[in-house]
Amino acid sequence: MSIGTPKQPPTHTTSASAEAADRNPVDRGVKRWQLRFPKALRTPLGFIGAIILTIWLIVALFAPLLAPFNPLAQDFPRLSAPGGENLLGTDTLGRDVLSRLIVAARTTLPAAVFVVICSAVLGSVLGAIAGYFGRAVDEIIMRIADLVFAFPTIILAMVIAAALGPGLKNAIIAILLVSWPSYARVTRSLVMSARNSEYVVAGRLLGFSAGKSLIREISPNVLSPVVVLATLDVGSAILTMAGLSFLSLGVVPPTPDWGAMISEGVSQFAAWWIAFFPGLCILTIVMAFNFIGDSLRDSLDPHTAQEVGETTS
Amino acid sequence: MKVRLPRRALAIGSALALTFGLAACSGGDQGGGEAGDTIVAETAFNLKTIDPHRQFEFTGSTIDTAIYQTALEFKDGDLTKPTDGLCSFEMSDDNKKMTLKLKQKDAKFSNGDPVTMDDVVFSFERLKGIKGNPSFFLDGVSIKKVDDETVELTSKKPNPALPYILPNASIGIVNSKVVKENEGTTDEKDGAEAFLNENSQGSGPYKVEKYDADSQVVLTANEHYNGPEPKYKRVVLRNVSAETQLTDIQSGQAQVAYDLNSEQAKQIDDSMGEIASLPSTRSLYIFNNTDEKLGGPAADPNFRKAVMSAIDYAKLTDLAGEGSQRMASLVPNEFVGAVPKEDAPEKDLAQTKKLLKKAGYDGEKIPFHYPSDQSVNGVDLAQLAETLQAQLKEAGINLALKPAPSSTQLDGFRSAKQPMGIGTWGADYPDPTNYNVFIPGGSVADRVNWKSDPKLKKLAAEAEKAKDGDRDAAYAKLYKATTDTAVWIPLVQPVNTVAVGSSISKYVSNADISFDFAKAE
Repeated sequence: MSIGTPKQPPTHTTSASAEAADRNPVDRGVKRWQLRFPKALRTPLGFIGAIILTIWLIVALFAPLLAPFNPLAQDFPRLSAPGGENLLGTDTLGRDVLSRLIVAARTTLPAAVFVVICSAVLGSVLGAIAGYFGRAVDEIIMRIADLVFAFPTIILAMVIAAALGPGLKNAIIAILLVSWPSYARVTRSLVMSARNSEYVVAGRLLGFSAGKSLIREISPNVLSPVVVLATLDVGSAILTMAGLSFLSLGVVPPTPDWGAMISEGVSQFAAWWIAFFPGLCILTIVMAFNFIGDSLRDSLDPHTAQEVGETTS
Repeated sequence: MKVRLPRRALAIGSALALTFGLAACSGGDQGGGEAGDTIVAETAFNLKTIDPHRQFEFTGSTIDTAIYQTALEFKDGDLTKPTDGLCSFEMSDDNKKMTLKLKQKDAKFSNGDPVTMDDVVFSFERLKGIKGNPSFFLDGVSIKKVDDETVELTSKKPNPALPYILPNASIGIVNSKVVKENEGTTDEKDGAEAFLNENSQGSGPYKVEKYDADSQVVLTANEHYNGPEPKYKRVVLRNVSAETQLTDIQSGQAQVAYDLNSEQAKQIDDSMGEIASLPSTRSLYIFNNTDEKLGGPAADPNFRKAVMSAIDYAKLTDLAGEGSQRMASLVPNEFVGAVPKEDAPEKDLAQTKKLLKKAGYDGEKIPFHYPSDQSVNGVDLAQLAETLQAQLKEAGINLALKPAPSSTQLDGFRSAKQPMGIGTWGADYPDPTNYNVFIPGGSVADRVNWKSDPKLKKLAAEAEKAKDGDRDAAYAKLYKATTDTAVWIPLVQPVNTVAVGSSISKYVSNADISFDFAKAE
């Protein structure tokens, strides 16, 4: 265990500092997190990611003002090339591609963030329970997680979405059901190593309940890796949602959606703009989240960052 | 500051490099265009078998048309007049008995055996008895050999459609002696399918050389064929996607492409080849559930008629591509019994408003079901649904789109619980009786809970009694009245596009045979 890893701070400090940490481990975790967070975005890739993400947030927030036309109106000549009135061309039904791209951001971004938050919360809670209580509870929860891990994510999401029927709500449920186990696994391992720490044992001796021990003492040390994982996962969630929409299992038409637009473009190779621009949107936003996630990991989870550095150098 | 590329970025880069690398390496395995006497045709396979009495898909039918001759045929693609094929025919006055006489006495199978009436009888009985997908063609028909040159087909009920059924590639005449030697029977114990896939037993211009249901089927000329010798001695039919078909036609690697949609067809210029636009035998329509509880507003005739007058049909034919046609009923325009397309419904928003008011429609959303993964002759049904939704919204009718994979949607339609949606029908044979299923009491009418309609019942009875030249008018009257109920709203008859490469100077392509390999030059 390396010094400075936030997930096990008290185990390798001097006895005096360990005592201080034990007295108020929450404060210490939050302070370090707060101090390090802004720095994370100061790396070149983190900075680029933050800028791209900010642009997309602005686009999503002000979509109705930014979209030049009604994204549903079939008012233009079909399959017009980019340029002129329709900057990014029109689709097979004569709808403005740019307007559809802009409005689609309003669906994709919030849905992806929402699904990742839900997965992180659900997975972390289950992982924490498994790690803290161990034995039968651990076995049951982690075997269910293994069951989900046994299938490729997109295939399982497809099966669930197909069973529930197409629609944004069902796509979110499908992605949530397939993405929580990774959080459960990470949280469980962190909680398992933290639960026998002196400060946790001390808390228990003072009469802290399991819930209080988990929330007040252990969770701050688990938070950083989960935040890093969640940030990296937003990109995957966007890709999975686009994949479901591509297969007509996501957002129901005529609501604009990047995945569905790519699906439409696949059968119209000559009208390259139909698939190219939504593909570019997905690429930029997934890249932004990956860059931010990588930077966050370098900053909040130096142990992994060091490992990655050794592998890539 | 040292900039370190994150592992994920490296992974993305590697994946892209690998993708482009693979793309660059692929594409050579299909080989270039075979020279001289070989014609390369491409389609996206839906091939299960080329045993004529079992196949019921486009690819199998395309191949069997080149391998097997049939008792009757359609000359020059005229689907309204069945003519003599291997046999001549005569129908009895009551349309219950058909007499077939062997006409092409010089016809020979690919092994040199002559075609006899025993082969005709065996082929008909095998089709009926093995209970394959096309077995229904001869349901209720008994087959009797009268002498070496005559066969009688007798139906219990009048069967005026029989001459229109017999030209189907599924009723190809096989060499009975060889098929029997290879486990061929006329009951469900038949085991000749695998043999027939590898060793065709037909008397048509070609025979099978190589059969691979996943990649390609190769045909070679039948040296015993009694017709003109084909210029192209070898036909290679390859399984490729529509996009690849386009590039292969453009580059000259293929001479025939079956699956280009209208937008792709526009990319073939004169130097690359030409497009044969043939009328499709498919019909696209809206169905309305007539049950008040299940159909909601759609059960009200006024509402249905309002929908019918709210659709911009010109936009639909534009979406379906050049050559697609308006329809005044579900019967394609080239068939006997088709309602003239001049009588097709027109957009009339003032009428829609009036009818909606009469129906008391308050703007509620109506679930509108359609298969989201299906295209019919290049018409993407998902796009068609979105177009209809936008058009009806303009008229104040709100549809809630309910896409589903085609099998799921079809199950829902069959359960008769869907209030509205898009349906498709492909003709099994070009006769108006094939559309009787849409009349109350028919199997498709059951799916919208349409149980009775006295007026249509009377017209159907009259049409059934009509003979020869009178059938056309009688069935047209029946189907015009059916359209007037607006239970089925005919949308568009799409176009069947065949791209023909510039190396082919002369060819035959019509509503019956999309592309006749034997007549290509």
